[in-house]
Amino acid sequence: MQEIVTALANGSIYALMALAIGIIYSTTQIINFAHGSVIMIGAMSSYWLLSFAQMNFITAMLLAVLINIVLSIVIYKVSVEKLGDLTNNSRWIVTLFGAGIIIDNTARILFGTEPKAYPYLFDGKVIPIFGSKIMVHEIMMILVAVVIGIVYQIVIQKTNFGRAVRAVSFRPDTSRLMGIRSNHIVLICFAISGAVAAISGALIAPITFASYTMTYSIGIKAFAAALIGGLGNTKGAFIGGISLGLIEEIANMVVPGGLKDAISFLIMIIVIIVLPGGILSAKLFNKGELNAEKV
Amino acid sequence: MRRKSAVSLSSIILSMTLLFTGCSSANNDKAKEASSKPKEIVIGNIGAMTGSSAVLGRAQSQGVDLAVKEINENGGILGAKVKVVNRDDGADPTKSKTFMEELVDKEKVEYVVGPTNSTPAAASMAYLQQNKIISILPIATSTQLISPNNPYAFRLLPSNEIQAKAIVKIAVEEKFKRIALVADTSALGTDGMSVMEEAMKSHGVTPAAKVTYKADDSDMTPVAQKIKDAKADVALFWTLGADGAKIVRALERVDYIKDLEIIGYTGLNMPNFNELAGPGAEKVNTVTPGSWALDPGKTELTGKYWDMYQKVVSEYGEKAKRDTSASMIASGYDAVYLLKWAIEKAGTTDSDKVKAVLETDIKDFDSVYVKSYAFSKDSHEGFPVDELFKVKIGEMAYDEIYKKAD
Amino acid sequence: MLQVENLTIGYGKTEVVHNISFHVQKGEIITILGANGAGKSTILNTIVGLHQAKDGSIRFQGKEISKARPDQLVKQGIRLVPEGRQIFPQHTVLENILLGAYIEKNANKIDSRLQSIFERFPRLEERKNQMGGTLSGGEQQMLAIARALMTDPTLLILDEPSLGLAPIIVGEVFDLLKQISSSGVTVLLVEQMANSALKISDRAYVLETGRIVLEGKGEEIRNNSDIAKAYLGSI
Repeated sequence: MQEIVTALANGSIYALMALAIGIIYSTTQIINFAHGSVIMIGAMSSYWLLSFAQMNFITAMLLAVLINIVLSIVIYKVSVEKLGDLTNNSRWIVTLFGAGIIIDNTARILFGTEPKAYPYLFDGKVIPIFGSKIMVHEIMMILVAVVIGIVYQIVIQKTNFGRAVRAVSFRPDTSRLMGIRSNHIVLICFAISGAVAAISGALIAPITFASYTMTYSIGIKAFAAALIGGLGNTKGAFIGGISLGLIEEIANMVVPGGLKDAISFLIMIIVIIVLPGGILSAKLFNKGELNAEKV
Repeated sequence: MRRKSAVSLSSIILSMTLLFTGCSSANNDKAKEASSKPKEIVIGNIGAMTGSSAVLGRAQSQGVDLAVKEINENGGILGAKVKVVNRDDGADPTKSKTFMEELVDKEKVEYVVGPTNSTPAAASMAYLQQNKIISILPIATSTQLISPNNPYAFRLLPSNEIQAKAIVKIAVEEKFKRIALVADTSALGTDGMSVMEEAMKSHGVTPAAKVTYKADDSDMTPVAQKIKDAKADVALFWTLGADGAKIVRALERVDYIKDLEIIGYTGLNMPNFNELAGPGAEKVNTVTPGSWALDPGKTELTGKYWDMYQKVVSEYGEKAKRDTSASMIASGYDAVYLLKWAIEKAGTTDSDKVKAVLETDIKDFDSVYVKSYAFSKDSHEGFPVDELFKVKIGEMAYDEIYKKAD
Repeated sequence: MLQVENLTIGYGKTEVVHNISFHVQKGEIITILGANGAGKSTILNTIVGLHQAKDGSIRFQGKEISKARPDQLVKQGIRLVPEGRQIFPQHTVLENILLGAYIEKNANKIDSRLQSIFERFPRLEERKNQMGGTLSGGEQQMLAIARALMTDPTLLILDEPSLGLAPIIVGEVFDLLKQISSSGVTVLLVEQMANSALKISDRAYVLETGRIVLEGKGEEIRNNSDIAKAYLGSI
């Protein structure tokens, strides 16, 4: 029982990260390699607001979300927009990796190297379910992730903005003919991704501790989750995230600890080779030229 | 084609010849110098003074500076002034190697203190050995640095091997029955796991479980579960602080922390360990140099160690101000005094003779870091296994000095 | 209404359109004819702001627009129905039409225009919840035009609306354009299908490798088979 909850909780975080990576990927076809760093800034800034400015959790979170939105916009303006047309160049790989490194090092200088104990939601309260100790925080991780996923899906499917995001992700030039300012849509996607990152940061930080290296290992897994599920796809992000969480938990039981990640990534590589569009491309969305559902 | 390779071969031979003659002439110079009375003794001090390991490099430098200041005020070594040449390698092995060559070739240092970090030390060690330069390692702890390959290197801090021997010895002596070994899969962890296993073997005990995990992993429940499944009564942690704290929390989740005692190597220690690990930190111990740990009920260290501590505080301020560890400063301070003592005892700066003194007469040296260093012909590990004491990880008496466990 | 003067357009160092001038008057249907690669689409994309001209001026209702962004031009009433229709295949028909009204924030206007669109294109109303990608070519072209009409444009520009359609459907499309034109919308289209286009055009320009080589009334050019053969191949 506890293993399942842990798998789902970790999986939800991977899903949230994959979702945020997908939000940006869908409109730009680029992978935000600085995403882990943005999550870290979300966690570090809310930590400092909570512990030093003595703010309550909600205010601290709102401010952290705001900080992350600004940070994401700056990342877009500085290391993406300046590159111009993204279809024919891959310089973003370098600029985004670079942005991540700069953010990490700045955080190291600002916040120090020492990991900080980030508070669990509901003070780490544990409730017994079927004889296992389940943390309310873990249940919250799953709930918050699912709620964000559903809200995002509704926004994307039902609103004017969502239609525009899908349009830009499919045909950026045609979207401009509709009067949609593609670069504004992309900017907003960066901002949303930053906001989601702040929330992911607050959810994962009690487990990894808040430090400038807190997302080094889970960051890579988020990319894995995104690829397993299919990039830029909400359902795929969740399927990828949850399956990765479960794979890890199963791997934990069968192989010695150090090999867990190797197993997870082996499975990721197999999925990518067999289903280049991710698990969701398997049967649902492979009609004609339309390989994977966008967003 | 043939011609070309012949040319390049001859040029290699030429450069090698130059290299060897260069070396031998340097040695000759040194031998000549050594026989007469030295005018000045040059010591290289190298380590990370900037970057994330700066607290280590600065502690070493503070110790070295303090010792050299005192020595020069009191007539130097064999009547010669001591000159220190400082280099900041930023914990970068490549830089360290380059600096070391520069220190030896250009600055003509005769002794080296440092480098502070293990990888830079590993990278620059060979050049010191070729040039027969005695190096004292006051901080670096990687096991491999002290070996027959590095006959001129001496170490002061407890190496990984010494620490492994000590925590295993403590666990065995405290009559724990089921010992679990815990380490991550990094180079550091793998090294730790193997030295702990060897130490276990020498006591004739087999571990109840060997648990490994990937450093920095977010979910440590499997580690805790494996310790629980093994019904261990003590777990020896070769883990870094944050990971160790996560495991302690996970042990609480699986309801096993109350049945377990944890002893970790010094890497487990970090200032806010208690906060990170939560209430389970109660059950976590580490080891620390006994002379620098407070006896139960006492508020001062004993004798010369307390004097040294006061000296550090008056020279560099309280811990909060200087940021560096007083016991590491003591180790850096000892490094210079060891050289002074050995040179004066040998009556010469000749490195082989100084080395022989360190190996044979070390009992006579009066240390401010340990009771007595353990150098011998067979081992250049200075720290004696039985001078590491178990301390509760949260039990700091001053900002940096532990209380010994009762 | 639209005045293009000395327009030169290129991609990188290669010039595609050389110093062309033409104009469109209010209420007209104007066709630019030309073979593949003559630079027709480039001209249209430049007018609507997707591409920047190297030199020359484009004026719309007296205002210089050569530096304007596509969204600004949509607001001013210029809409392009792009080559190959470019509908959004994974948006529903209704969503495609609503995307056409993206800049319109007034819900009432959107509603009433949607009503008139559905009156004009009953097939689209029948299929409004289907994915755009499931429509036939002709229906997709209707959808693309409907989408453009959602902002009540004053100048409707079409890039090869007949491309890939069956002849009977082509006829329907041009009838529709005639209707739209008579409702007061000015129409500029580029075509390879010269015959049908010229039938409904007031005037036409013939473009060859980036230069305008001929200009005249639609009927004149259609009837002058020599010219037509020389520049357009068979009609």
